[in-house]
Amino acid sequence: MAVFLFYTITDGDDSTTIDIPFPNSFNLANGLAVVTAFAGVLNPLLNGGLEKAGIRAEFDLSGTWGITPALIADVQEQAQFLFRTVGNFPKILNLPTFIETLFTGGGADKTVDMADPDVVAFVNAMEDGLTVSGTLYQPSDYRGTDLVSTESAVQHWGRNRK
Amino acid sequence: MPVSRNKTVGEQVETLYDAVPASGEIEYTALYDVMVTTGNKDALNHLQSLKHQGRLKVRTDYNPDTSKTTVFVSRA
Repeated sequence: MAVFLFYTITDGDDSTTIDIPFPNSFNLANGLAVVTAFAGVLNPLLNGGLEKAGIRAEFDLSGTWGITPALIADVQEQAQFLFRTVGNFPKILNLPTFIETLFTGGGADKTVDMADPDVVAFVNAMEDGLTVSGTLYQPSDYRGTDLVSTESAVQHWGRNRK
Repeated sequence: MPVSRNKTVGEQVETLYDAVPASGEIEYTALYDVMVTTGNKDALNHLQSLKHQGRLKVRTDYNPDTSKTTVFVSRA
């Protein structure tokens, strides 16, 4: 059984929830710190607001990361990250309300700017983990397998607002 | 006067590697500023490949006291 961090992201009208799996070695005693830490690498990528987050229970992030979305935030506007596990299995993560200026290219071929410092922080946190108070927390796929690389990161449009 | 040209992928990779100090760590934001200032921003796109080749290490650290995330890059 894996442990999941979940984040509910709002564009002011509607919201959507993403989750990030961890292997069962996850230390729940540090849950709030880790939820807050991963919000810190997600938030710089989003126009929307981080409304709720938690590990099987919800945490109020209003005192840490912004709940107020930008006026142009739209949960349909997403960045789709395709990560690969150590066994080359895919793990797709769609980030709604992704900030438009973090894309490069134009038209239908927009890709995420992988050189941007905020993007680098997120991608490396997903691939190599995030050190929080001296302890490394490494995301995985739903089977608890380590994510090791990012195959692609492109603009993606959700089919509906939910 | 020499004719300027775009760097090859291999040259971009080495430009990025050379920008990382031989010892110690550099904050990614500082590395980013250097590469942008010197006109080598495209070379930053090879950070992941250098990491996967085992030539560079990337560490992402979160400070709960300041709510700040910092990315450090060093040579492996």
